[in-house]
Amino acid sequence: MDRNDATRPVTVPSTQVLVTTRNAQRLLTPNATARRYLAAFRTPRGIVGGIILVLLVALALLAPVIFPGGYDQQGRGALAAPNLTHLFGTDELGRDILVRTVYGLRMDLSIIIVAVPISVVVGTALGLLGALSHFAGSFVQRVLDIILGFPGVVLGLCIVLIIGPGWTSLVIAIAITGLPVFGRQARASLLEQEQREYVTAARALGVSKRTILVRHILPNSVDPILVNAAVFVVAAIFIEAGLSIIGLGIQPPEPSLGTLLNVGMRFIEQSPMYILGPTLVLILLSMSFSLISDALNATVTRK
Amino acid sequence: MAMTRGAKALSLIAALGVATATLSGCQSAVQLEDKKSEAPAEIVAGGTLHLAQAGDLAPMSVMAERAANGSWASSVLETLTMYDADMTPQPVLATDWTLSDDGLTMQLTLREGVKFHNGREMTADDVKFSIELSADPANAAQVGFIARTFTSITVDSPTQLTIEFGAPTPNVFDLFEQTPIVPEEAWKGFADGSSIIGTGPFAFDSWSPGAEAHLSRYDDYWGEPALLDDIEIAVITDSTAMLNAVRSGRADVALQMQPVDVTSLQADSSYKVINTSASAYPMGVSVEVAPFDKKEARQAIQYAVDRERIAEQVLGNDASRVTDLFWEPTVPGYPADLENYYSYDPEKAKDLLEQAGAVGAEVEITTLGLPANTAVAEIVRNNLEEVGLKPTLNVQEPQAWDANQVKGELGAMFLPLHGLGGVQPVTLLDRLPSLREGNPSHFWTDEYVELRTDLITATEDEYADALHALTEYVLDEAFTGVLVQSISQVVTTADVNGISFTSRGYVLAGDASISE
Amino acid sequence: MLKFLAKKIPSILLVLFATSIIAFLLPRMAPGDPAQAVAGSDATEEQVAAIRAAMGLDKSLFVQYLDWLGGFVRGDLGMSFVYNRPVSELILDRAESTIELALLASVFMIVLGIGLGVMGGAARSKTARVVADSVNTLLIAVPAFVVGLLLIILFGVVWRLLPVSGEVSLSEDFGIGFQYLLLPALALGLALAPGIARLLQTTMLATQGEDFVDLARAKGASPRRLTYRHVLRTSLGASIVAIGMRFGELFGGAIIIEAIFARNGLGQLIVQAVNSRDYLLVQVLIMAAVLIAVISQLLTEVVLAAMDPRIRLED
Repeated sequence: MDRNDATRPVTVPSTQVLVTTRNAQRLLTPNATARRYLAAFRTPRGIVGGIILVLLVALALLAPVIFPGGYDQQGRGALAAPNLTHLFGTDELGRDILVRTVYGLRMDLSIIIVAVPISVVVGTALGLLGALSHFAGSFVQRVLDIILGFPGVVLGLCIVLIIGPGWTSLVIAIAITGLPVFGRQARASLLEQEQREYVTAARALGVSKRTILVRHILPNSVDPILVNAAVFVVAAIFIEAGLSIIGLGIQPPEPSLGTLLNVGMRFIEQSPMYILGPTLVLILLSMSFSLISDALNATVTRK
Repeated sequence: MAMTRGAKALSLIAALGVATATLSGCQSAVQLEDKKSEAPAEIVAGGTLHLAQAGDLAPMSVMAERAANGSWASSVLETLTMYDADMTPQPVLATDWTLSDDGLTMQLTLREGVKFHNGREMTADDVKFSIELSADPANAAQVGFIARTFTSITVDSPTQLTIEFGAPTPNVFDLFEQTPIVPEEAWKGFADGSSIIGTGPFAFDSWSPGAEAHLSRYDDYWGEPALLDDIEIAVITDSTAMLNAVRSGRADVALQMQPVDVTSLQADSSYKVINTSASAYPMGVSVEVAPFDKKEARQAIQYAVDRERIAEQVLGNDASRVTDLFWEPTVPGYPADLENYYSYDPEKAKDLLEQAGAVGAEVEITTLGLPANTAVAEIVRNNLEEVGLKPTLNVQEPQAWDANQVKGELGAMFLPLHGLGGVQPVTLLDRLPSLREGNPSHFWTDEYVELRTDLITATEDEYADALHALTEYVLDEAFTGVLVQSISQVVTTADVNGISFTSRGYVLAGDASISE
Repeated sequence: MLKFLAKKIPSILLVLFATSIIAFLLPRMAPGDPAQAVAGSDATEEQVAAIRAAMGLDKSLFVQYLDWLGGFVRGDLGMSFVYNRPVSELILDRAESTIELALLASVFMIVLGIGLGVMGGAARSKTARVVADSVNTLLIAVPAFVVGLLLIILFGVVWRLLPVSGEVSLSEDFGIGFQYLLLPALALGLALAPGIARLLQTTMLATQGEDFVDLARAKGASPRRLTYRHVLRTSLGASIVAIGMRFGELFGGAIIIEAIFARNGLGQLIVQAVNSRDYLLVQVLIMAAVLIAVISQLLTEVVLAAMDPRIRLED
């Protein structure tokens, strides 16, 4: 069969290898899919990533229990280096950095858990619109181009200034910033999938566009999404940081990983250990997502 | 298409090769910088001074006394008089002044032989023009309101000027201090920074917005020519980058450096730290919003704040002073006994709050979103929570804050930042948003107006008492009260000499030099 | 190919037009304005109003937009409210610095990204793959400013090899300028490379299971030929897309890097412009950024088509 179907002129980035299966059809029942994804957690990467993530989430959830005093215990001993009473040292107002880091993790998780999935789902949906309507697909891509081109600082700033600072506007700003990433990726997958034999076959058989999209194209497009999502988690934290530090994000004294990083940078000369704790947690968080997405990728695609 | 491993390796090696060649073959940029910091041997005259500042210059607002112009404006532009350390006006472009007995007319005699940078001689017409610029609201001169009370300015001769006041104006020297004398024909060129003409020892050569500016010595200066050949000003917004610039020798003088970074250089003997002008961090409340309509509640919060901790942790003890007053200690008639009217007394605060029935009140604290202000706000919030209030913070991004402050709408409680600008209390009363008419506290009682007028009309003998009375009233009413004053600190390398500052904290580079 | 590009022009113009409207409206919805910025924080309402009138900001939004649009089609990008200079002049002043940074950073990004990706996806020794993968995982998680800081400490403080503050333009003095450029570009490249590397690695590992690879192996192709001729070539597609997308991020990343290395480029300019609400300057810079993103996406498609004969450039 001619790989370039002349009846369907589209630009096709060569992403066909992103999703590979030896046979074009595989079990796509929910049960099988779930079992396949869970199998990822039996790989070494899945185990390590999973454990780290579970630990971090547990720590965040249990923060009020472990540190009942809260995150604003100020005092006189400012900018102390790590010692036995304060494992990560103290900040510029005498607060324990470990406590603030854990609460910051809690805050960031709460933002990520909402913002990233929204971005993924909406972005992917927008990107896949092209399967239903060629025109809609192109239009969406142009809109995403504009969002992508908008310098992140300006975009985030404007969104937050208009909606008003706080958790909600941060979530929205992050979600919007991520749309082009997932939207473009989804469209690339879409265009690649549309070239494949089974899609052409399904169309020839008269299967509706929507069915093709949901039952065939979508499941095969999922994997690069995971990779991008892991990278985007880190980006999300930095967006939050940039906005929080100019008073447009989480209002002090409530900590977030982003604000801790930013403030820590200011004291990098006086107290280099300040930034150590939050950076460590950030790296662990991102790594866990990274490892999990790798594991998923490996088990789901290797046949 | 796909690069073979060989090709890739080759290109990497090539890149490394270029880098190495650049590093070793040609000059090392680091060595060049090191040479700069190991200054030329015992040269006292000549050389280039490198200044770094955190915010961009603002030559379009020379009348507004912005901190942004502190690096250059007083070396390029000059004023009629200048305060010395005792706040006594000294002659600069004006050599003599006589006030009539009724205090309503002043005769000014101007210095002769003063040349502008474009070659023309300064005359009384230029002085009149400059004062009128100050009076024009569009130029946002902070002392402009003083000029607006003048009934007339008459040019008697190229060196004589007569000013008629609408009422006795004891703070006229604040106006003279902060009004640069500029030539009328060149004023348009100030707006875009293309031609900034003054009478000072340095001429303004160029400005690349947001990046850098360049001054060079003006050899036809009326006084002693400057020692330096030129001055380069770099705009470095990131605090760590500025610290690196000083450490690597790229900058000789650093303005608006973060307090923590100043502290880290202070210990090093290869740097000097100079204290310049002060700013105040007041805590204000709106008397129209409960619970702050009750005086007890207002006083309570003043007792609740740990000012010492703010001074120590946020600003550094060397760069701050714990005081409740808006006035600097150098001000004539300074009421020293009122300096610590409110001590840190949480118990008393709690009592007062109970009396006011304000325990458990929810209070939103609005603050300017700069790092130091945010830290101050966090300490205040913490303190207020400890005495039984329910405070939350509302950190506002600078533009939003400014817009609200201009309107006088900052909510129930607010923590502004005011530059004190080296002017008299009489001027501050009308200039500081926290004290002037339409202040965000919405405080404007008859008694306040009366005490203000007393101060303005006070004779020399009455002055100290009038200032004391007004100060005590403001403190007692507690609609606003200063938590700490911060002292701007300028860092220079040890080989920079002769740099001085106006009472506003502007750099005077006429006598500056770089030596061994 | 030319026909393809020509057909794209209308949509590019449309995007620019839409962006100009959004970029015009969005900053104006934020509190404050350039008159406020120029007047200063201690100004009175009267003073701010006077300045606002002088700037022409009291005219209706529609009129202001049309004024600007009219000038734009004649080649006049407008005047900065704060600096009173043509926007084009301000941008050109700083453009060189950012262009230098972006170009060298792209080189690093591509070389390091592809290098690490290949190593992780196809290196023969397992250790090499693991090392590459770990480095990648770590780099993804580290923020750009931490990378920059580490570089500053390593190469500017511990071993005083390179300058860490300021800039000299390449056109002024190539040798010295390059030394100033090296660390910032490396920091930016390192920040953006891991995403590409990770994607490439993933796709290469996945490709190895493909039919055509089996076929090639059955035909007796050597492992190296397999890797480069077959696996890599087909895997690069996704990476090209990722690289293309990251060109837009270069500008955003440049903001941070320019700040910590004290370079005066467009990144700093847009931050200052937003902070002082210099509307027209912000607007034009946003349009420029979007234009670059759109063009880089186009170029991506062109490169993809050139690389893979199966792809045809069609609309």
